[in-house]
Amino acid sequence: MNCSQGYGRICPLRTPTDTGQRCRAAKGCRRRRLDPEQIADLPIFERMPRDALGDLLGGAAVERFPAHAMLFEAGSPADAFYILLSGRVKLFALTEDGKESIVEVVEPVASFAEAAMFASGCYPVCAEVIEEAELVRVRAEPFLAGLRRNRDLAYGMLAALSLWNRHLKQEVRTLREHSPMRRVSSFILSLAPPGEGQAVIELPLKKMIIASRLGMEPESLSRVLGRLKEFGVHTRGRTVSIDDVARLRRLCAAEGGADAS
Amino acid sequence: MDADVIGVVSRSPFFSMLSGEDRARLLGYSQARHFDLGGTLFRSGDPARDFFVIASGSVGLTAGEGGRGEVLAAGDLAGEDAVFDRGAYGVTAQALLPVDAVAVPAGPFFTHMEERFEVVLALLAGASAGLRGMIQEITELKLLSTARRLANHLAGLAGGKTGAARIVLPCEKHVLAERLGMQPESLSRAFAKLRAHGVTVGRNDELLVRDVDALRRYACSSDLDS
Repeated sequence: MNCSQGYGRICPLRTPTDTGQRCRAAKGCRRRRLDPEQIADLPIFERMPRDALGDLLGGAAVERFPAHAMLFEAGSPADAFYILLSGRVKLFALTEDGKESIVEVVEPVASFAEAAMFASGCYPVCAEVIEEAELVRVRAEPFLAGLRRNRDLAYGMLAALSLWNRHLKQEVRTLREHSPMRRVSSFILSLAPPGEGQAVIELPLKKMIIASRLGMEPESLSRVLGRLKEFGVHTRGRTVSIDDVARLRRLCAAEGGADAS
Repeated sequence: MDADVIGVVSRSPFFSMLSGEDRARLLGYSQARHFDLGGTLFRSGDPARDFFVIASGSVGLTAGEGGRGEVLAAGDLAGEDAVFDRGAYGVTAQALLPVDAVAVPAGPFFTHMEERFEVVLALLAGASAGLRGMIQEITELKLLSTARRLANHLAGLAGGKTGAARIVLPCEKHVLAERLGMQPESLSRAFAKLRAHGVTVGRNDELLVRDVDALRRYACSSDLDS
């Protein structure tokens, strides 16, 4: 394996916690068996039958890690990937002057480092626990051997990843291209029945969460919902009544780059 | 096959981890295809015999007649999920603009993957890296609004001042993060983002603002068109 020496220097400050230290470091550390049900909704496992998933993970254990535990460092061989069940993990690079540049904060439930593992390469970033975390460390060797034996599982993963890629790409485009007005109306329309005329819908999420999904401030969301009254969309609590769905659809098509916040 | 078309396949994140040899083999059994405006790449319900890498133009995917669809552009793939499922297409794909694409036939593609597990791994790596990249981009886009919230708060702290100003944070950063309803990491990243808008962090959490008015304008600009 050809791991760049440069990466090793990027992460010189801490040594990764090895298997032996991992448990000693955590107060009251416990290991328990992983219930495949907990991770069945992850994009890569979405299509996988539960029993096949159990076999593939081969009795992987859930381990508790304290804050500041280092999971891996940039440049070391990617011989495992991780699934975060609770707590938080940051992925970061260290700059030349030793400053951290956070690439991502991983929130549960999510997998990370699987791309590096599939590529049999090196971890491109460092990973450190920032809030006491429950993690599953999935070793590459048995996992990849399982996929090699049962290619259908790998094809299922590729199908699921393809769909996720497409959906997220759409989400990125929506965030990039649409004005807040259009984002909110598209979201409401996605909940409305097809056709024309009146419709009443229930917002499936709290407004705070909707605002965050649409990439705007809760205040902006309220402002946009207020402005939509002019177009026959009335919001009370989580109930939204639309006077004419077709009219809202026309507004959505007309709202190009105009700004409503 | 056209050099431009080959370039698109090579740049597609999905194929980015393939070895040069495997990419050449894939292109060898694939075909360049052209679709006129309104042409159909595939129909929902048909067996998934090919998937497409779009080289130019635009493709609309719709689940049914008049349904809300997704729009694909150059570099995107269409129908690959159905091919991996070895089932039927779940959507109909039509050219919204004239389209040049590479059609990858399912038969030789599966033979290729059966013979070389490396190809499966490279595709899995490409697809997961793509997903990770997009999750980061979404976070990044949403972070823009975090930076504006912070800018707004700082402009408030500067009071009625105009021009350059020195602001002392009234509380520690983690308290500020809590007050603004952010995670401490988001706050650090928001501060980093504001550097481009003339806010620098000095000693003892003292902040230097180059132009309070400019900061105020940034805070009030719309959500994502910075």
